[in-house]
Amino acid sequence: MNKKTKILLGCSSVALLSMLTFAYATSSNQATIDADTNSNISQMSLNKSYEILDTLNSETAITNSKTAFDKLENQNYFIIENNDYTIKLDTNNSLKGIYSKEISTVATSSNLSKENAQEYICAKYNELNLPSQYELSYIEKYDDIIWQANFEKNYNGIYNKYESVKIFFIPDTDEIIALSVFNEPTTSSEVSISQSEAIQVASQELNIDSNDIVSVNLEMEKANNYYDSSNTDTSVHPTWKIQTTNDTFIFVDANTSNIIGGDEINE
Amino acid sequence: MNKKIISTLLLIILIISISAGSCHASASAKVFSSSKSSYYGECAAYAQSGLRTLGYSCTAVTGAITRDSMLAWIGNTGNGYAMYVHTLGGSGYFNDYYGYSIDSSMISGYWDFVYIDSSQSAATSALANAFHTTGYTNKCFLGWSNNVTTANSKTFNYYFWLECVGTSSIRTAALNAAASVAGTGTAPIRLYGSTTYTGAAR
Repeated sequence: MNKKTKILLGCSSVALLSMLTFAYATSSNQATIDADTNSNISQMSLNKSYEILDTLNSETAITNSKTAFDKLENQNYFIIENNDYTIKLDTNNSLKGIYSKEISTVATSSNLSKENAQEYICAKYNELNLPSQYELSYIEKYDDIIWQANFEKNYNGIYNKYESVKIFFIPDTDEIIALSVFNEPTTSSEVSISQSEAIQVASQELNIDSNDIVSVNLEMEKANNYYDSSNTDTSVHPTWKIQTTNDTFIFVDANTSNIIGGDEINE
Repeated sequence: MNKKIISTLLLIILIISISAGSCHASASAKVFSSSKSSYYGECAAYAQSGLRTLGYSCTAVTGAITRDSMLAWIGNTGNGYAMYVHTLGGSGYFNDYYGYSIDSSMISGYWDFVYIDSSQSAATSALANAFHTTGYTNKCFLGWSNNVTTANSKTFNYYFWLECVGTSSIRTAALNAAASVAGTGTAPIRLYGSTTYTGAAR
């Protein structure tokens, strides 16, 4: 083998090695959800999935099952799939979500009345054994064909969206498109301070001019570190949610009067 | 003998070059994420991952994004067919870091998948039409029909880009992700264009 041949062989090897390295780097960049496809999903989890799929009138042949870690919620879930749906269960085998793989109907509009849509979704809610303490708080058309319903826990007139079931569905074709169960109780249901006291707190602590306040609503909100980067509390509180003219929200705890967080509109 | 070896090696190099070219000839996508919005870093990372799942070769610009840089990408004559922008905006326009707007009159090209993640970006079909994502079987536009908060946008993007895209059509993926954001009116996502397009890179 002469010198030229050796050089060419060397160049080929370098080119091949570079390609393999690049391909590995590209593929390893894509995995961001931690999933263990080899994990053992218990028979109990599978049985629960069969029940759900049966209620959805979907075949019970499971095509995939795995454990996945949800970084936002900091917990593991069991993911069980068939050809039509992905079922998400928590580690106690409670239903966390049902997600359709494809919307089957080709219809472009729903002809049902709101009363009929409500009747359909309440019956389906019961069939799926979803939390009985949540009540229907919202039902409207999401678009021409899809409806949205929310069932939420009611604390003396304040709904907690973090203890709720949110559903997108097409009643005309008996189709659940997406359903999520939220189960985070509030730290308190007490409301000890008034709206005007909450505004006063925001004005004093954040220098908010009362003329810059657009709206104030009593809601359940999660604490966050929007105004205090050292805050690690993420629990749900009864909250005076104050919106200002610069599209920000201030969360004032309606029980303790502490500022527990905030948010802003992408406007 | 040497000539034969050299010819064989040249052929191998040629094959490697061609295969390398075809491996990375997939359509390109670009992510723009403005640090005027909280969670801009997270949303950019989620989108990059999701666009790669869809088969795009993807790069990102984050922080003080400029109108010129976005318009340069919008006007690209290369292989760029997808775009995600996380920023502030309103009905029919979206802003750069400095508050300069891009509206439908400045947009050109025939895009496969565009997602403008700013309030009311899909309140009308103006932006979707400007990107020419409506009226085709394999093109779509995603945006918000109403106001959205940065926290809810982040939650939606986590589930949309990391769990949902690549498993169904963009329409179904968006609804599945919207269901994962607690509350009513918290994730008013709206799709224009094909309801069956998966978002996969050409």
